[in-house]
Amino acid sequence: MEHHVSPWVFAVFAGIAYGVLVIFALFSTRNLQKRPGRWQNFVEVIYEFFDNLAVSVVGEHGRKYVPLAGTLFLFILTCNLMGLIPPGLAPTASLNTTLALALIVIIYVQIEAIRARGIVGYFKHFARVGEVPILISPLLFVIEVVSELAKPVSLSIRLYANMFGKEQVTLALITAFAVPLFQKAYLPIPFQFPVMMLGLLVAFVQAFVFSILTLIYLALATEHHEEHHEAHAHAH
Amino acid sequence: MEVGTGLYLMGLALAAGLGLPLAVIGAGLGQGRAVAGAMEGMARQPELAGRIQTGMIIGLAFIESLVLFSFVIFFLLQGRLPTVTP
Repeated sequence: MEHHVSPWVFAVFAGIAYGVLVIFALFSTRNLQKRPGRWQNFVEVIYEFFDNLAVSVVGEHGRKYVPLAGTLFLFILTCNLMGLIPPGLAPTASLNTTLALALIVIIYVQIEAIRARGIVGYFKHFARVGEVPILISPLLFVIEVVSELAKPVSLSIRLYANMFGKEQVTLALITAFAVPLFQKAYLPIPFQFPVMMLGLLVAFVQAFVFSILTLIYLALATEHHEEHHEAHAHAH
Repeated sequence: MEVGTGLYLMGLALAAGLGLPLAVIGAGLGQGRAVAGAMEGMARQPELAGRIQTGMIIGLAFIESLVLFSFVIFFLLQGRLPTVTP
């Protein structure tokens, strides 16, 4: 599972991604107009997409999560796309980066859950007190805690393994087919090209999946109790 | 080489080679069913296509992540295999 690249290289590339995004943000918020030009329109479309997504997933109070979800999407997308440009390297192909992102999300989700329910309600929700018979509650508490702990693991490994796998398959195709053919017959055929096209798709899909899962976890953590009961009443 | 070591390496090589394809078979079947269901839903109710598509992508990501877990295991196992120079 080890990379042949030392970890700090990924940190440098992540820093470059931050820099690109900061320049992007400064460039697009400078000189805002009432009647948006082409560039401002493009940026507003991105923002509105996440605004609609947050409202449809979390509900009306989900507007405050748009910056988090949007930033995660843009950062992960920038990181993933950096892996497709030849001297670049996707910082998300390192478990360090993705685990950091997943921990940010999960810790924020816990903070929001405590803020929405209070500290007692937070633990009550883990045990589903009042929703299930009292004898099952301890068992459910354990299951819920384990599934809560599994969230950052699955979030980070999903993104990491996707990016790392894409890079490994690319590398394998280059070393197994492209390089020998070039050395023997001087035929520069890019065998890795289909995988890189797939990587372009995966870059967008994984960034989207990461940010929408963030929104879903936030929605689960902050759903209102009244709605919950109503939904249950409708279900029965 | 002792028999035990040989058996261990054989099992390791088989596990590294067979684990991922098995996971891919299962996830392929699962993703096929998920996409088929989503497509049917979209055909029946085209006005809900956007929401169904979002749900489908999330479901596909969940199924895919199981394969990726076994992919990580594959790399762990592969790292334990010795390099043999013929």
